[in-house]
Amino acid sequence: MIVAELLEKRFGDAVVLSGASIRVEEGELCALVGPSGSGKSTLLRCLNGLETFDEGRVEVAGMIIPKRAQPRRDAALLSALRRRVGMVFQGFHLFPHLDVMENLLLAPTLALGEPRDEVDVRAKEMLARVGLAAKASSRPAELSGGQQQRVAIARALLMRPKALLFDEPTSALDPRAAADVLALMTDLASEGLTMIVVTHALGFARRAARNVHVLSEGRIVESGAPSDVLESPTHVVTKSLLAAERGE
Amino acid sequence: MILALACLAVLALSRTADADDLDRVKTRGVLVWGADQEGGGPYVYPRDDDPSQVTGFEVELADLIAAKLGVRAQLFQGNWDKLPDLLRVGQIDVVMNGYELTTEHAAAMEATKPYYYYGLQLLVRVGGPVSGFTDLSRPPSGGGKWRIGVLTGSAAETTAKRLFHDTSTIASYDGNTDSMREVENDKLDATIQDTPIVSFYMPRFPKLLTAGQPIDGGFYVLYARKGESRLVSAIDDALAALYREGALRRLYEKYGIWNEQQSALARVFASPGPSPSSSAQPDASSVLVSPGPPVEPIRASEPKHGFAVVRADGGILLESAGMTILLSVTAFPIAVLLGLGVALGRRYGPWPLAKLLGAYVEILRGTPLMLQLFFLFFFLPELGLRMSALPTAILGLSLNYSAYESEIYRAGLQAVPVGQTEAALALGLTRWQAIRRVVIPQASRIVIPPVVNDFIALFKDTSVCSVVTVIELTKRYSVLNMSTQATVELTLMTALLYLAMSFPLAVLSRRLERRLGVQAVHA
Repeated sequence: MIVAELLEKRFGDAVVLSGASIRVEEGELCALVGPSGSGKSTLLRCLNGLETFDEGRVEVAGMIIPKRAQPRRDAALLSALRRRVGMVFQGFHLFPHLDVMENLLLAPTLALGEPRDEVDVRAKEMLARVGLAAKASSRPAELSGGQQQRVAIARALLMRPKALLFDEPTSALDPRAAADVLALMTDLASEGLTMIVVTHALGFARRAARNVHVLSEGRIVESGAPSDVLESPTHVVTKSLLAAERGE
Repeated sequence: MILALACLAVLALSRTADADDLDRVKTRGVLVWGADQEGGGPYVYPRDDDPSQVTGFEVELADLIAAKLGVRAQLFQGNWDKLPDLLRVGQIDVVMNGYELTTEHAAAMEATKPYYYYGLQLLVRVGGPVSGFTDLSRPPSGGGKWRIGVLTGSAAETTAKRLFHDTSTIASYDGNTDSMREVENDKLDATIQDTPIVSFYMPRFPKLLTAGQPIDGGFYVLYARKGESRLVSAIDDALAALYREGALRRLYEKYGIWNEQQSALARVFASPGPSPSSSAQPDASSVLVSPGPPVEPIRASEPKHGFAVVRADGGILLESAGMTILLSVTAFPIAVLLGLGVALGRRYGPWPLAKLLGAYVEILRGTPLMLQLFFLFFFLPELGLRMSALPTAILGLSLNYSAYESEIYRAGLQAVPVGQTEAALALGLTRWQAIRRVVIPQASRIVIPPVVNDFIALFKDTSVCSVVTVIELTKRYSVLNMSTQATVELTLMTALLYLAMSFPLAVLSRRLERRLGVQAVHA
């Protein structure tokens, strides 16, 4: 279970989060939508400590993240948290100096201390699972964007996370590659992986999410099942998102 | 006159407290004396047939003195102007390299009795406008000023500036024979040289002529550390015995530098008398014209040219290039590792450490390498930290270059996208694991071209290490150039050796860039 309560965050004078709260049950796929600058990525990054928050409470998989966490002081807590909650980025962030297999092996061997040959077996299965068995020894630069993102998902999954956070995973992809990645994510959701997805892909939210949260100016303005929120929106921001989706 | 001066000099110096200085030398069985073979003949210079060996009248004199002390003489190579520093920090027992008896030197060091009386000889071009010192005291008839060349820091420089300041431009050169060449080439009107240099090198300069008698003589003495009076007394006794036995005369005649002045010195040594004054110094300014015979030019071998130079000196140059390589390949990896450490400390460390490292970089980057080497070699021993020359040179180069490498690495670390660190952290890696396994490998690829560039620069900067007595390629070049005057051949050979060392690095760098650069771009 992932809970964020009344998060407040400022960058200098700019208020990024002002009282945002979400609650995500185990096995749930939760979509965070909202216009640019609404704070959805920041909210997501607060959940694995890549971003700190000034006020409020975050509890992830039974661990409480303190406000204003410090990289040095709270190092042990943060890395323990991140071993349980993976993240997939808009820009993939594969390690360019390592080949695909090495990208997959790095964290399980280093952070979990898993024997290399065991991870090796799992990594090969995982690559096959994301349809890239043939690319084990390719460098990231030799892969397409969609392939890179699927490797990034495989890399996160190899940590056997309790939950996966996705930060606009398809925004940098062409429609076809995006469809591949979304299909993979839908599969993962149907297997019961807890996922929080920041996305502009409302169609995907409609199909795969159990709950949709709409953010505007640092707070949640509308929440609920996609059949409610995205079919009969009540808030003006949700309406404009839907209008944009229809191309109006 | 000479006799009176010699008396003053010989009996001059008050000797004080007993020291264990002589015992130290005797126990060790070696008298370490400092000289610079770049100074050239006839003092200390590389042998023609084997440039890795030195010869010269001071080399032979050192052997004679050491034999009298019952020990062996060992030459310690140092830059001429740094010999008193080498003495001070205990690298050598005595300085003997055409060092004159002056009040300044005698105040800082303990002088022995003189082993040679030299004069200052005017040299001019055959058919040139100058025929004697008196010409130089009037401006040239065509107007302007005379152009006089001298050796930097020599008595000739002092004398020239004192006597001909109004009528002449005094140009100071680092090498003995530089100004002789310039007179031949009509870039100078005259040069003033110590008489032994004139005797030795005149055959090399057929267009030069000695003009008039030598003036303003002075004494060459050995210097020991202040207070090391027993060592100085023992050397004085040795010199007296060598004069008495005629060994010095035979030695000086061999090098063509025996003359009337030396006879006078020998007579003083032969007749022990009371000192007329204890604060005496050679009042050389009162000697305007000495009665000595004109010096006879002899002994410098015919200069070699072309392949003869390659055959004679190629081997020793190559050997010295080995020292350049040794310095570079040991110092540079240390510099890169230190630099990486400093860059990491500045980027990821707590702020007091970052500030401290910032100061480290600015100090090392903002002061000359030569000063840093000098500090390590001549100042640290005063604090009880003594290192021999090679480790000092390597340490100095490493520290100096670590400042530059750290700046390169700082840029390299900054160039790794922040998303890379975030991805590593998000996977549960610790901060240090993320830095070590994700950031540093990528930064290292980014910095390859500037780092290799610095490696090539360091190759050439190793030449500065001669200030801490390491003989590498450039110093060897200077020594050989001074003794052979085969400037064109030696310069070409030395340049080729440097190029042969740096060019493969440049090729390697480009290859690495091509292989690794692609990924850095796509990162």
